[in-house]
Amino acid sequence: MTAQEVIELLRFIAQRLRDHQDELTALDNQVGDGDHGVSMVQGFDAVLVATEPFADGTPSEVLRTAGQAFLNAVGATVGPLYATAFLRAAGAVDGHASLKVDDAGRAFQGWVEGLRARGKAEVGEKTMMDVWIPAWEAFATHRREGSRAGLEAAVVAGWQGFQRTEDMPARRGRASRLAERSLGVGDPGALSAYVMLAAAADWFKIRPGTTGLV
Amino acid sequence: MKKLLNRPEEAIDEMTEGIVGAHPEVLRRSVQHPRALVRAGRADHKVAVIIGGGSGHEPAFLGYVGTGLADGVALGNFFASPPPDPIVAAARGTETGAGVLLIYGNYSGDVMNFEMAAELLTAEGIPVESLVIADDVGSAPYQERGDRRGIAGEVLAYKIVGAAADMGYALAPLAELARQAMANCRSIGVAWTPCTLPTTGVESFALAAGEMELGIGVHGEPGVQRVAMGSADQIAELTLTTVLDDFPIAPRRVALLVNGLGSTSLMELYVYLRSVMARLEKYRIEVAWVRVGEFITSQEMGGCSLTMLDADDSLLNLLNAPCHGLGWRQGC
Repeated sequence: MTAQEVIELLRFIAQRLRDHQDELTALDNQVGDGDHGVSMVQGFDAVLVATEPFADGTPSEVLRTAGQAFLNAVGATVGPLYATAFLRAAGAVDGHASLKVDDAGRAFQGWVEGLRARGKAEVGEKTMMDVWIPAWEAFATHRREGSRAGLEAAVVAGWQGFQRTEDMPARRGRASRLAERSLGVGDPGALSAYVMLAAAADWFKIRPGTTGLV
Repeated sequence: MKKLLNRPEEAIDEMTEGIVGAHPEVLRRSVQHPRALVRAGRADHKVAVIIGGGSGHEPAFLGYVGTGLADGVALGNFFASPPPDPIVAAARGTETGAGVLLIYGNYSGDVMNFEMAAELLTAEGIPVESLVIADDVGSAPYQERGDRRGIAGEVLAYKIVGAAADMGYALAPLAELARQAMANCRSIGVAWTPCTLPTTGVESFALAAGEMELGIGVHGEPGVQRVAMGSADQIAELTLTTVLDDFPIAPRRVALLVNGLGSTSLMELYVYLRSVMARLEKYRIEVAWVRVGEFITSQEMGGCSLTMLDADDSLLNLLNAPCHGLGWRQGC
C-alpha cells in the first residue's frame, strides 16, 4: 500500500463521513452539542488538502500530516483523539515506502493504541472505544485466516460495539452529564468510528489489487 | 434557519475581522495564528492569562481579553474546543517571562487541547499553570464535583484572575487564589427554547410546550432534568435552591451573575434577579455584588443561568477593579 493509496483510502473514508453527516448530527443532538458530524467532515476535508502533496512520499508521512491537519482543523474532543491515532499509526510504519499486510495491521494497532492513550476510555463507557477496541481485537484474532476475514470480523465486531452503546449510560465526555438519560441512544463518536471502519473495509474490498496487500 | 450570516463556515473568521476592525484599542489578531487574539496594549511583566473555548458563545470568550482581564484567547469552531496551536500562539504572543495561566472549562475536548498546549509551552521553557472551571451544579452531584462542566462561572474567573494578574500576582499565588475562589463558585442553567448551530441548521433540542430543561449547558446540550416551565418566581426558587443546597456551608455574602443565554430579554433577567434577591434577603444572605446581562451565550437559546460566588473583601475588590474588554468594561 503506497502513500498514494493511503490518500485514496482517506478520501474514501471522508466521503463516507460526508454521506453520514446528518445522521451523526442528529445523534449528537440527542446526547451532546450537535457538532460531531461537522467536526468529522471538517477534519477529513483538512486531511485531504494537507496530504495531497505527499502522494509520492511514504505512508507514514501521509498519516503524520493527516494527524496534524485533523487536529488543527477540528480541536474539540475528536481532534486530539484522532490526531494521536494518526500519529501512532504513522509511528508504527515509519521508514516503510509501502505497507505490507503486517504493516497495515501494525498501523491499525497503533491507531487504536493512540486513541486509548489519549482518551483513556475503555470498553463500556459509551465512546468510540466501544467500536475501535472490539474491532481491533476481532481483526487480530481473525487475520490469520487472511486480511479480508480479519477486516470482516472487525466490521461485525465494530457494529455490535456501536449497538451496545445504545444500552449504556454515558460515563465520559459531554454525554456523561446525561447519565441514565443517554440510555437508548447510541454514541455519536462510536457511530462515526463504525462509519470509518466500515469505509476502510469496503475500500480494501473494492481495491483487491492494493499494492503489497493480498 | 434564519441567521445574519454569509457562509456559516466563514462566520467565525468574519466575526473576528469585524471585532478587531471595530475595537483595535482593545484587542488584535495574533501574527502567529488567525484564531488567536491578544490584548492591544502590551503589559510589562505579568503572568499572561490565556483563555479560550468554542465560538458561538459571544461575548465569550474573546470579550474577556483586555486590560484587567485576559491577555489572549484561542477561538475554536462552533461549540468546539480550539486545537493546541492557537492556544500556544496566544500564550507566546503575550508571555513576558512571568509564566502563563491557562483557564478553560471542564470539557473533555478543552481539557485535552489545553493540556497539549501546556505540554508544548512547558517544552519551550515557559512556566504554565492551569485552572479548570467546573461550576455547573447541574452536571454532576457534589461528590463528583470535579466532573462538573464550566459555564458562566468562567466569566467571574476571568475577571478575578485578570485583575489579580494586572496587580502583579506571581504565577503560583495567582493560580492558588483562583482555585480557592472557584471552589466557592456555583452555577445552574435553565432553558426553554433551543439554539441552532449555524453549521448544521438543526435545533439543539425539542421541548414540549410548557417544558423547560434544568441544568442546561452552554452548548444547548440537554440538561439533567425536564421540568414544567415555571414563572420567574418559581424558576428563581428552583435555581436558587439548587445552587444554595450545593454549598457545604451557606455563604453569608455573595456575588451574583445572572446570565442570559441568547434570546432572553433584559426585562426577564431583571424580573428573575429581583426574585432571587428577595429570597436571599429572606435567608439573610447579603448580595454584595451583582451583574446582569449576556456574558456567555448559546447563540439564540432562550434561558438563563445563575452564578453565585461566596465572596470575601479581596474577591470583591478584584471584581470591582477596572477592566476593559468587549464583554465587560468598567471603571476605565
